[in-house]
Amino acid sequence: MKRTALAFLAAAALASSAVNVRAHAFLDHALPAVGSTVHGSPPELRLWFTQALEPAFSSVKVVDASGKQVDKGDSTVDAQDRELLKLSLPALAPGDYKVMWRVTSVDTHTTTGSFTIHIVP
Amino acid sequence: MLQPANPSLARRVRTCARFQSMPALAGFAALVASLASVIIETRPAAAHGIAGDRVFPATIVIDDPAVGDELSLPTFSTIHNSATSSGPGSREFDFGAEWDKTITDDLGFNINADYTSLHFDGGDSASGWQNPAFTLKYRAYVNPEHEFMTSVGLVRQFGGTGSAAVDDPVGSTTPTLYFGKGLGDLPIGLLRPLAITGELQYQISDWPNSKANQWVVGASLQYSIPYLQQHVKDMGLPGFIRRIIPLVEMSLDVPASGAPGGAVTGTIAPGVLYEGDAWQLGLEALIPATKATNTGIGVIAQFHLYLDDIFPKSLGKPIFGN
Repeated sequence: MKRTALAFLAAAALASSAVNVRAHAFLDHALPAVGSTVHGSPPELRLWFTQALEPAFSSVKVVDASGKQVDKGDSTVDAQDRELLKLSLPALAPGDYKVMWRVTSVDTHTTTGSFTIHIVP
Repeated sequence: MLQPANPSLARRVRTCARFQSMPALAGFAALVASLASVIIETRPAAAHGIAGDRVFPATIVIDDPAVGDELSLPTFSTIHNSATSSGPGSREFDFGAEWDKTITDDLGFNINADYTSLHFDGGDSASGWQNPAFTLKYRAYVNPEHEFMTSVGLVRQFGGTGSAAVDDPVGSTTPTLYFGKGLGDLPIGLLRPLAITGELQYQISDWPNSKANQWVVGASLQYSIPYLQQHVKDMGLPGFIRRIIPLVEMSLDVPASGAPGGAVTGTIAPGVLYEGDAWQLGLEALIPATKATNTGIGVIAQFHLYLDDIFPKSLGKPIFGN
């Protein structure tokens, strides 16, 4: 049994040596934060992801409660920090807004996601 | 791959006859392995899958609903099998490996192998490979908006290909239905990270007169901290906690209607999964679900690799398509 156990562990070690790789990009954190309540309209939305993004295939938008897009439509991946996706916002009225992102990591995997922010006076 | 727990008399006799070197323990060893395998073996395939905002992780005791390119290596478990009127108790160790490969985006297969070692309380031991299992699986439907995914599969075990000391000589064919449902589309606040996955199997024995057909019912209840952080509310949790998914898995083997003898056996497995960028580490307790399961409390751990992340342009992509 010991030899079998060692063989499995050796194989696992070999497999794990390949783990430091580029993977799916998931949301790490955002500003304003996911599910947060914000006093006053934020001028910008910032989303940090777990992997570097492909700028041509990564975007984010903000919609209001009726589903209407309300951002400035200038979603961009930061040139210096490829894990950062930015979006400018106009002055938004108090209410609930849904942030919807679709990004492609540099390994070509695409992921989507959404969350809500609450703007109060 | 979870083996059937069917301690039929015919099977015990057949296994005893094969085990010439230790006739007193042979049948008992196979019986113990059969019973214990209900609890400590993993089922084929453990691919993670994405349905909208939901990522279904690779569960350990039951299979998840996804099709993917993944490698579970190793899966380790240990448990103590209780003594019975026909033999002593034993400490069991299992080492498992599984490779999942996509043929197309929605169609895949996997191969599962387990090595079992039994150490009887009296000092004897038995060990060997269990029958390998092969699964063909098709992802039939995904609804991103409602975080729902369902797949169908066919699991084939070739009886007698493993060691007679630890596994059943009778093979089986098992049609399987898999599903996963995230609760993120429901207005339930901080409970939105919850998800339920499950599988329903009907195991058709090659020799139903010696080994009865049976239902296998499995389910998991998961609370995804990554989902909480990414889609519900950023709680400001430390980085380590942000990658954890607490969960409870359950699996029951139920003899089919009319099957001779047998009882419902199974396990309840509470634990945690830790999500790395391209890997996952899982640790769960193994608690017998019924008295007939006849084991103590064990533990199972698994290291899982997402090959689609590690080798996106070769081993980690479908054979046909993108």
